Amino acid sequence: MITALYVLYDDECGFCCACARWLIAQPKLVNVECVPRSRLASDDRFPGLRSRPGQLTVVDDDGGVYEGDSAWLMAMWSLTEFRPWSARFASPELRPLARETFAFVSQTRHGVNTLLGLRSDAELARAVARDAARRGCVDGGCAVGGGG
Amino acid sequence: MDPMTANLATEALPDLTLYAYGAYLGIAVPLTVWVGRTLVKNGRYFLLDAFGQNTELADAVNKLLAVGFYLINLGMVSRNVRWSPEMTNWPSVVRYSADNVGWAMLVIGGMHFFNLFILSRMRKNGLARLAPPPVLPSSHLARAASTVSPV
Repeated sequence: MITALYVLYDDECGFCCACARWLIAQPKLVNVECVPRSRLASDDRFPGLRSRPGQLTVVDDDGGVYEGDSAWLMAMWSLTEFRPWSARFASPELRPLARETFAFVSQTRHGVNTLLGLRSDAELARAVARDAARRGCVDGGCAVGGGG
Repeated sequence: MDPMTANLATEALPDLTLYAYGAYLGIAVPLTVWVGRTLVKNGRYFLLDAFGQNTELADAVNKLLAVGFYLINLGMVSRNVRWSPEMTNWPSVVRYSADNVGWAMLVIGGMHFFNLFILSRMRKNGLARLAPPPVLPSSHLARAASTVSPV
């Protein structure tokens, strides 16, 4: 019985970060935690997990690993509103459509970022760090409004 | 027309409108109440499935549905009273009552099936929440993620 899902998302991608935020805000039937891919290496909850870049990965609390469109269907399954849809998209008739749709979204996500001006959390963090460095701050010790 | 004949005419043709109204409302209103109660009593089981056995929510929705049902039906029954022909003999009373009760029954019947359709859909959606995962994992981790408590 699955009671929790871990969604490993690409935190270098603004669109993916937006999706993760959306996912967290939805009413759910199981616990969901979104784990940024960059923190995977330092997270000992997923031993031996090799998440391929550009591949959405979901891990359940039994250790089952789902990739690509399967991961997408599992994320869908966790949501109150979309659980019936997950079963529908997993049916033999609609599974190819789910696979193609997910592959398309996956491939075009960087284009979507550029088009909509979406910035990932990692990019924002780097921008903040760059700015701090430019102002000569050390360890976040900058006077507010005093730099420049 | 001379007063004498007019007088005779009214005496010969009694006004039975009130009887017709009595018969119509006497049948249509209890019928509505009976259908309403049947819906409330039996619809409850559908709603319990729809709302994951949440008794309070199911009863609340049941009550709200019943209020809507009664308002629509009794409203329609009341409004139908105004279409009344001249009722001067008993066959016309029966015709009028039968016609209006018939319409009321058809509308109530239609609403009843519509209700059933909605309730069974809600039930289906409610049961869909218990659906197992749609896909199987492609591989397994060496150690289950749950061994470390989730944040």
